[in-house]
Amino acid sequence: MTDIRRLAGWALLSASLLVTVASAVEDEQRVEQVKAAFIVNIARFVTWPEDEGLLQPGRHLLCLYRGTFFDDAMNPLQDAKLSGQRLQVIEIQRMDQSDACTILFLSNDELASFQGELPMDWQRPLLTILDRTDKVETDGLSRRGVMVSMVRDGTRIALEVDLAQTRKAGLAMSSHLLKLVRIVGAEAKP
Amino acid sequence: MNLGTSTSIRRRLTMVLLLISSVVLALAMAGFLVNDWFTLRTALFERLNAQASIIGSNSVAALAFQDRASANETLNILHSEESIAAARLFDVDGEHFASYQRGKDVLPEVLPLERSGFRDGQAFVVLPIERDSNRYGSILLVSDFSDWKKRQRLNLLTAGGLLVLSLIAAVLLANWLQRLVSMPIIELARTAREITEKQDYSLRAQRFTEDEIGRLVDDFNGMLKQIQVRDQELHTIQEQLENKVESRTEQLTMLTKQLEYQAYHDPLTGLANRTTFDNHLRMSIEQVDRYGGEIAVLFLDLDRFKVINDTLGHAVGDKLLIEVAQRFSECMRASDTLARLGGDEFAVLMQHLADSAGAADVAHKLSSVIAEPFAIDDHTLHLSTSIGICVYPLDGKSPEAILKNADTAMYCSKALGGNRFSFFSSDMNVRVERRMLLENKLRDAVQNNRFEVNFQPRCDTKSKAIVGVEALVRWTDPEEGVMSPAEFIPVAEECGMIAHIDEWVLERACLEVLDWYDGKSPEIKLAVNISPVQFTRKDLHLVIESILQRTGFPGSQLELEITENLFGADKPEIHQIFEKLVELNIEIGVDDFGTAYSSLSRLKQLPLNTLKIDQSFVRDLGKDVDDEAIVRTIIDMAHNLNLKVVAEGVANELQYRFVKANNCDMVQGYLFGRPAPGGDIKSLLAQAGRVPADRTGGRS
Repeated sequence: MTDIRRLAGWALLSASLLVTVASAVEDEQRVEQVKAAFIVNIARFVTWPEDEGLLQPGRHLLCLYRGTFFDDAMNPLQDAKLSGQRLQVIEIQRMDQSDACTILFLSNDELASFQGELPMDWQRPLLTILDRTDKVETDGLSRRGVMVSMVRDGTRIALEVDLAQTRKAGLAMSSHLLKLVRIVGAEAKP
Repeated sequence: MNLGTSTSIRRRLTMVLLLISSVVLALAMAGFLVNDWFTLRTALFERLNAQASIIGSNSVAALAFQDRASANETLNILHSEESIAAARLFDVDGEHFASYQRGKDVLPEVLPLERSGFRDGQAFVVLPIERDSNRYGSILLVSDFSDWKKRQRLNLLTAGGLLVLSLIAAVLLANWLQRLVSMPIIELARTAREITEKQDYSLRAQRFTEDEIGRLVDDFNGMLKQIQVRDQELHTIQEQLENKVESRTEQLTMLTKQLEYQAYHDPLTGLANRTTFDNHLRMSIEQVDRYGGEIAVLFLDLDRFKVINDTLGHAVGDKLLIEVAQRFSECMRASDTLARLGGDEFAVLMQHLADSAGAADVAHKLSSVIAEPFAIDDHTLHLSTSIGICVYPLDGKSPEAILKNADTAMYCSKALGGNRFSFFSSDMNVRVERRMLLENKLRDAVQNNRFEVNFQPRCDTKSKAIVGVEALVRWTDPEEGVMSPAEFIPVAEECGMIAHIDEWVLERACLEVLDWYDGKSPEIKLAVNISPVQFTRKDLHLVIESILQRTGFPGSQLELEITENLFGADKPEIHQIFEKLVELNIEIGVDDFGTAYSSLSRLKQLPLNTLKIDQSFVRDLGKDVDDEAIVRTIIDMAHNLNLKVVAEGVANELQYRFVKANNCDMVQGYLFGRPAPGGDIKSLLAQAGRVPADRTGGRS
């Protein structure tokens, strides 16, 4: 009986652990799905310049910089539409692979690498979105090359936009989006 | 609202105009209100949609990035829009995302399926929130409908007020406008009423307009003109009719009077008729019964009037009756009643009779006035009357009895030869009955030809040879045997049957005498009696000529015997008839001479041939010197007048010798032969060898 009880106790413990682990996994997936949705939604509030020849006809290319994170979460983004154009998600390892990209998503862990690959005068109509939701504090962070940052605001994800860099890159950002975000960078309000 | 036939046209027109304007206004108002309602509703929803679109558009990012605070901020902008009661954002999964609410909770938890509509009395719209064809959620916007309702109420009130004002204006306008139509009609009606009241068709309606009513007025006036003409014609006809009615009324009144007069008067003579006479008699009898006294009834019947009527015609008869009535009337007292009872019968009612002599005086007077000759047309008529007198209460107890008894007395007078009056006596009834029986028998005899002819010889006085025969009628009644001519001849004369009898006797005698001579002209004279009444016929000579032609008897051997009273007065027509008869070579003898009062001058004027001395003078010859003197005088006078004389009734030698001694030409009587059948006379003549003997063996 004792064994059985012990076994049962283990079973229960295991089950609870499994449930806990499963719950943590589900939360992680849900957050990633939200982040993926954020990426698409942010892109929907951005207008690319038409004369750059960047945009390939019929598609937007979302490039994931060196990351394999939330691959599953990105699946639903496949074939999503942006301004009537299909969204295609690819992964790149280096910036020299990003010529066709219109959106670049990178994690905070890859920020240094990213910035390290950027030349000083880097200026492309490439919407760069940084996931910094794992960091609570964002002040003092170098935002070079990062136009939109996802940051944690309590239980929710907030956005920070470096409007100066965005404009410099030739991207136009909807006022509706701007109304929700915190402007940082050169045009940040004191 | 009663718009029946009794409502005035003004009111009806006003009501019609009001009704039309009210309906139009109401419809217009309703149309505007409905239009306004739909317009406002559409505007409301459009506004809501616009607001929802704006809010939705501003909430896209908030929905995209699950920013409820931002969404709420955006929704709170609606606070400045008082018309918005609430708003709610739903995410793409239809879950509640953010809300705004002005007052009480009116928002549904679940997104309505409809895009717009009303919910709990409030309008709502639902719009999807999209961007670049990507849906982020939906927005529900609920409008506070109270403002809209207030506006609708205000609109309704405004419309109602306008409607009332419009109706007031419509009343005023309708009241004014209806006059344009009704005034000419009312004026026309007023004229028509005035015409009806005054019966004045010369009035005319005034024309105010040139439209249909104006033409109606023209037609009305035209009709009035026709009516006026008709009315005048009607008046004329009415006057003519009234005149005619008046005339007819006068005629009817006259006719009524005439009929009334005719009911009580004899239409021919104008005398009272039987009805009046009966009434007067009844009243007079009542007077006598009450106050005493006597009354007399005189029943008059004209003698031989029927013969005059039959021979000279009714026109002459009627004139004669009128003249007779006139003469009778002159004899009447004021209190007497003279009536014509019918035919030739008259009656006189004498009241306040002192005694019977008074009635006799009147009867005598009546007989006298009628005895004067009547000049009717070309005829001079001699008339007499038979009168019966009956006195109440002596001779009867009732009006009927009195009149009947007077009639009986009259018949007695008539039976006695007429031209006399008789007072009623109880035995008269027997005589009257006898006369009536005789009259009936006589009619039967005429109808059944029960007569026969006997002949009495007439002999020459000197030679005693038969020189003629007198035909005498004989009537043998089956019940009474041989009837006396003295009895039935007057009745036959009175009843108008004498003409038939005379003609029959003449024709029969001619045939028999001719038969004696085998149809050859006889040598003897045939004397046939002709009643004096026959001489009132203008065609008597034609009748006799016809008989002579039929029988072949020579006129020269015929002698017609007439009685002396035919010559009583100057009768030119008799003279003419005599001349006609003379032209036929017929001789004329006067029978029963001496019994009447013949004028010698008249005897001289007439073409007579023979005088026959009445047997009443002959009967006493040899006994009565007076009769002998008369006979002698007659013979002398006749001879002086160149007339032959016949003595009739010579029954013995004494009488024969006297007349022979006094040169009487011929004798007739039992001494020379009784009246006998023709066969006997023929035998006598045959014995004398004057006629052929009867081969069958006659009596010798």
